[in-house]
Amino acid sequence: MKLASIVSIVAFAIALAAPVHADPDVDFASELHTYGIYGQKDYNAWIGKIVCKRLYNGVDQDAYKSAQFIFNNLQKGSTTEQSWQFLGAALRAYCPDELPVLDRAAAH
Amino acid sequence: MPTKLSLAVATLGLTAMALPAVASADATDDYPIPHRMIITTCTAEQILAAARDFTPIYYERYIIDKHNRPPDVQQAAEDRIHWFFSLDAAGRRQYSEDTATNVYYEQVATHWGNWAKIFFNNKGVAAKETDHCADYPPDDQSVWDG
Repeated sequence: MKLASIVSIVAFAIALAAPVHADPDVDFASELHTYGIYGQKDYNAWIGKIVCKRLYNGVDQDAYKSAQFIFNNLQKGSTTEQSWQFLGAALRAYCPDELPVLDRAAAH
Repeated sequence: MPTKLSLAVATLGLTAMALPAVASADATDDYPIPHRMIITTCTAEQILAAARDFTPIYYERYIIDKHNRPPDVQQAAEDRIHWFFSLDAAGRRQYSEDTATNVYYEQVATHWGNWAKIFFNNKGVAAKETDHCADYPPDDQSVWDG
């Protein structure tokens, strides 16, 4: 009886578990496409992760610095707006704990 | 007459074969070390700072590669590139020649083949680095840590 209830609970838990999450780099690339940002998926993903690293280690002290870094490394002809869109997507995808940097920039 | 002509042509051909200099891996003003690295007045730290901001993936790869070396090899690479940028243009050009003509000339390279990759190996990267390096402080050692 006890064993049966444990088994059914486990089975229920397995059934409920969320599907395995897709590769975050794929999701990130898909979001970038909605902003008209293309280019190599791996390149953009690595730039996104470097954006987080630069915020963590203080190379970029605010979102303006991050957006400038991104602008410098996007394809020629990209816009400032796209740099900020890239920044928001990168923070959400790779370091959501750094999202407040956007609020601080907005309040600036 | 035809015999005389063909003899002359043959002689010319022989002369042409005899004249070329012995083939060797000479350096040029751009190879193996890009000209911009030979004439820049930036320090190694300024070059790295520019790489961090303008060729970030190349920079990350270099720093990761560096951190995978023993500490003494990392230090030797830093010391060697400091020495390189302490040379004047003529000295750097001579060093370029020395490394091009003698694969064993650079001792650091025997421990870490790509020890100076971010400085020497790619003209496009060298161009971006030297375009921006002057905007950075000359002695910020944190650029070696990634």
